[in-house]
Amino acid sequence: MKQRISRGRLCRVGLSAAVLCAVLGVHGATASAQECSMRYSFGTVQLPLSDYPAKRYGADLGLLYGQWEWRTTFGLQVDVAKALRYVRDVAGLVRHCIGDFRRGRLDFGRRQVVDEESQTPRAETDDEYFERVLDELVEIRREFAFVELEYAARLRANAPLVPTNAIPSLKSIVNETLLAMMERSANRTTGIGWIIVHLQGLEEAIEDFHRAHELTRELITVYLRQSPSLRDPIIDRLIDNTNEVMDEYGEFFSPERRAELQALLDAAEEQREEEDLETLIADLTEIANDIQARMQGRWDLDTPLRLMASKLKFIFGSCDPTQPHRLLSDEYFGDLPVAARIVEEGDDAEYCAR
Amino acid sequence: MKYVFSASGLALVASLLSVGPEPAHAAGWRCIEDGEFPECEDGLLNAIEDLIDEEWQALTLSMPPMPLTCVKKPGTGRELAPDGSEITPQFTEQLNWSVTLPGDLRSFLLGRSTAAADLFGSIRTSGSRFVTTTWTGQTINYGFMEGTTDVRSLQGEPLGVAELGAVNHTTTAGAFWTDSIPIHVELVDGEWTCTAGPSGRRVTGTGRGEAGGVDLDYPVEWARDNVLHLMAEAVREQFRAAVRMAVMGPPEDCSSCHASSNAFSTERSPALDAVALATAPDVSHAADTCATFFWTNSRRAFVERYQPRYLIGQGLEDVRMGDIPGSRIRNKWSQQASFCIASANRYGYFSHPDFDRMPCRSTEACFPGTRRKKMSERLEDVRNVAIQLSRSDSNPVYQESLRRAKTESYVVIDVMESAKTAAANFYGGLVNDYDSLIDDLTLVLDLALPPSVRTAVFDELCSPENVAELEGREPACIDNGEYCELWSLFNAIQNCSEYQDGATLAELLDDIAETTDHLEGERDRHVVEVEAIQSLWAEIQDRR
Repeated sequence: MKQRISRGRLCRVGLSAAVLCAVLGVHGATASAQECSMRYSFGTVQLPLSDYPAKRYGADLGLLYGQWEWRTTFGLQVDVAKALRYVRDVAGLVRHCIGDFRRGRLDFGRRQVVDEESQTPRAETDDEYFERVLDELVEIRREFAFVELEYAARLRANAPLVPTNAIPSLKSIVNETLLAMMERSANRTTGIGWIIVHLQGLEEAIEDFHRAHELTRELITVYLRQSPSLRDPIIDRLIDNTNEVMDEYGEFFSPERRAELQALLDAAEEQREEEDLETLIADLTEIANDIQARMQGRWDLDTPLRLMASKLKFIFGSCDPTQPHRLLSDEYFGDLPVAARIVEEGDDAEYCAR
Repeated sequence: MKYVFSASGLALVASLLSVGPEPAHAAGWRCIEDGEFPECEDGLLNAIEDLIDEEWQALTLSMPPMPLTCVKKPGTGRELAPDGSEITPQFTEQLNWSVTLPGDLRSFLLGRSTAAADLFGSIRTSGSRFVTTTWTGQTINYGFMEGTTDVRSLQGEPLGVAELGAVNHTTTAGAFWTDSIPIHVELVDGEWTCTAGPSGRRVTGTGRGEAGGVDLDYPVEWARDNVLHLMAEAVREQFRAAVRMAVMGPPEDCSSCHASSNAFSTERSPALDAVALATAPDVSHAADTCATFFWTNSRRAFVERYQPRYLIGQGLEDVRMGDIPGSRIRNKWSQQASFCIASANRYGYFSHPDFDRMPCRSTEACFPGTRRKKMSERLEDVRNVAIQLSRSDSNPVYQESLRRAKTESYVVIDVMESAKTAAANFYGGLVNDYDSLIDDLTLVLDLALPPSVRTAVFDELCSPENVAELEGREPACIDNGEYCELWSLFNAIQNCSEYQDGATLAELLDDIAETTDHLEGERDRHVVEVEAIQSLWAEIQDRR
């Protein structure tokens, strides 16, 4: 009669295996190869569940270069072949699972935050979401950059038994993991690709705004004097044109700029009561000019747009200006003119600096 | 960097440290496929091992007939029998004989690419002129390589489990293997000489008929190869029967199980001569197991994209395993799909390119190319998936797979909310653009306004910059990850072209009025798209 125990309980076979399971996170009852796990003769290794708010990740990038407690995990008898195998296996798990929603490293969902005023939970606003998710991606990309630069040293420090001649193949796993991270991030439905699509929408909305605004300015400066009854339709156009942009894309403007624009619209509204035609024309012209200046300055340094562009340029880039930027490739966002603008306006020097 | 253990991980470590290593006798190397571990990949192999063990029975092997020739020495004994018939002085026979296998399969173990059978017990020889003899305490150990072909069902379907292949080693122990098999030839009086065995392996004996005949001792060593070869094939046949039962379940009339085993003695398997050394595929330890489906190492196939129907055991033909009968493989397929369908890798349903793109319809300008799906088309896809995952199934394995896949899928669907909102806003923006254009054209058409104002509006609308911007709108619309049709917008551009070519505003008024009507219709369709996005999303949430 053969004695059998379940694979999920195999971590009981010895202390070293038990620690391995603990380091990488064991999932006894439901351990399966499909769940970012791998079976060894001594037990099943599984990436733990990620706790994104707490910054604990299943597919932690440290696992790409053997950063776990080797001595207590595999004991003292780990030989060169096994050490290489363990690092390669676990790095492979990270590669396959980096985009996993439960045990990965990427979280593109809206989180619940506590509203400061009402102290009740609510979903992140667009502003909060953009800032948080892009900052996290910048952090991952920076981490990858350091892993790429320091791979040999980090591997030597954490897994000294792994032979040097194995480094190229291990680095290729790191590279594939980075590409998987980028591809997953660029997805327009489940990644953050929709943000860039949304930016393209902003560009087109601004084009529409300028066309409509030019006409409005012409109506103010040329035709309002001839037909004073056009005052209300002109003011309506001025306000509507601006609100169309702000309602849909307001998150790309700084709070200060939004406040300024709102103040200008309020001022335009007040012009409905102005009785002196010349004053009305002069005031509306000034308001229209001011609105146009603020719309044109959307890529200015002090706006979130410029900051987003810098982050996106870094996240999908290589910090090598001589290389074509990935954002512009057909596989990513080459079909969107705004991608070129992001690369042009973005400044990734700060992130690329070590 | 320090890893912070999860609470469950800490609890596990604590209990492990207190428990310590398990006693050696309690260890094993395979998981058990049961309610607690339904996804155990070794379950099939365990079942085969158990079944071959449980179903093992003593088998009688028909050995090749042994030629026997007896010659009477002339002048000895009588010439005639009591009945007066002439006594033949010489005869030749083919002796039928058999060997009965040990009834105890002490162990049968399947390794990664080899299998080992350990037989123990009595061996009995019997047959015509053979003295029935039993040797107890005999042992045969076989090592089998993995075969190159699959075991087949009785209907000839491959079962996805490799045959036992060539024997790579055999060891024997016990008296039988060095002993002789006794043969006794009863004869009438006279002095006889008998010879038994094929050419080159013959034994000869003499005896007198009056004394009982001739006794021969045929060395087992000369029959050893045949015995071991046929016994190995008997093990293979038992293995085939166990595989059939493990894959397909016990047949309704289980007498056929044993019938098939017994059939061995008269029917040699064609696989016998086709065996060849084979090794299991070299599978990377870090292979992504969702990327392929494997029934055993001899059957592994790439999975292009997991589909909801896989959860109820369908679609095995997609991975070239549709010909494997039985429920076990379908259960395993269903379970794997439940873990993999919502993966963020390309085989995941929502991460596959087909979720994002589709072939253009013949009525669409992009035909015969492909285009990105509109958000409503993607959400319709998601809604259909949600419907399929929400169904109930009487098969508990499928039901559990559906439940798990649904849970995992909604984790992904939740992430789509931002893109959904952005798309709805995009269409909302288009509606605003249309409204703005319609407002401008309404001004142009408003005969109550001064002609100079109406002309100025139309001039601006038809400025080269604006026409260029409008012309760029459709590709932008497609490229934005959304497919939308803007035909009326182009009608507006056509009006502008005519205007720039010299037509007067008054001449174009009817066309502009018609264009305005169409623009309103097109705008309404964008409104419908926005509403579809919102309602589909609500329905998807309701099915959670």
